[in-house]
Amino acid sequence: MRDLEQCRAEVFRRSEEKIRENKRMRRRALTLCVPLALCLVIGAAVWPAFAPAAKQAGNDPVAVTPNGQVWDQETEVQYGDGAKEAPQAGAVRIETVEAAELLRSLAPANDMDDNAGEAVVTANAGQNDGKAIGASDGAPDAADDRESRFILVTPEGEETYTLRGKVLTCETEDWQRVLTEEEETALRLVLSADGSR
Amino acid sequence: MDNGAGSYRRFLNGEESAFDEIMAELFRPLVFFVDRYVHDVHTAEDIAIDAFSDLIVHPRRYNFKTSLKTYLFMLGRSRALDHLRHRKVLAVTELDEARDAAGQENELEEAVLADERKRAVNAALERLPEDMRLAVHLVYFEDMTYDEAARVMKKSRKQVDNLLYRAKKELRLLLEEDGEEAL
Repeated sequence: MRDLEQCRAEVFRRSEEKIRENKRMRRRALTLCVPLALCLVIGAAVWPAFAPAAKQAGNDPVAVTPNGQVWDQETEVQYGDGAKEAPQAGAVRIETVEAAELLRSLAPANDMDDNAGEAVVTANAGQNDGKAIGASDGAPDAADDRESRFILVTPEGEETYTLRGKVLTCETEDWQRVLTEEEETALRLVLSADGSR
Repeated sequence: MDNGAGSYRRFLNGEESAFDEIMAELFRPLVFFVDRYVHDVHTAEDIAIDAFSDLIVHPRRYNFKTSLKTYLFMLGRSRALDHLRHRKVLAVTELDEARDAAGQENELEEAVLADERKRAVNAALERLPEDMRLAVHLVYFEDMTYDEAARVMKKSRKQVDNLLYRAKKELRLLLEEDGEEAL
């Protein structure tokens, strides 16, 4: 058994050792925490810069809701129950008689090349950008490139159209024509009326 | 008597000799108390040294609401229990070592218990269950109040009271058997 003096010396020796160990642990914790905190701060600062880019990357106007319905964010129109019925991105589904009649009236009467006086476009519908149009009464304004895509639903089936500026393209029957100001206004009117329904 | 609290306050204020006073007053009793758990003087001494070093390393942990003796005994008890919990392999003690340890145990007993009657009681105590033994030790050997003993043992005052009542009954029988005077 040690005498009291030895025990006292041992108490002080151990306490110094413990204090040193505590300091070491504190330093170790700091060396771990500081880089972690820095990473968090930098991450928090950098994240907002990435967020808009991510939003733009996924900027699809057509969104599918969790219950399977499709929501067109541009026109704010909701479509059927499944994605199959949903139009392609940006397409509006129109089912009114007026729209059908109007589109029928706009369609070329015979073969596309026979439409004298009409600006008939023979460019491939898939590549049409509204600029490769040979029009007899003047090419459409290049700046006027508002594009609407819509699907006309009739008892006979569906026809997909694209209206880019003044150029109306029927993708189903593969024809194109340049509309007059009045025709374009009338068509856009019908489209906006159908889209908001 | 403040059981070391005043000395500890002085030590915290920078008076290093005050720690010697605490050691002189409380070290041996703490070793003796811890030895009741671990039944090994060296381990008990080691645990007591550790408990005392805690007073230096963590001075803010003691709040001066209990006596320093109670606080140290609480530290000692919890460390002794930790030691028992972690001791997985029982050391095989050689006969000589055992004799040596027994001698040191007596040495410690002599250092702590000057009173002959207390020594007789101490011998009889070894035959009591641990809880009773500790309650008797704290109240009759360390002169703690029932509340202080209860705090050290982490029991209620009533439980300590019951333990002491039963311990006294047992001790009386044991001491009568040994021809000693009862408590």
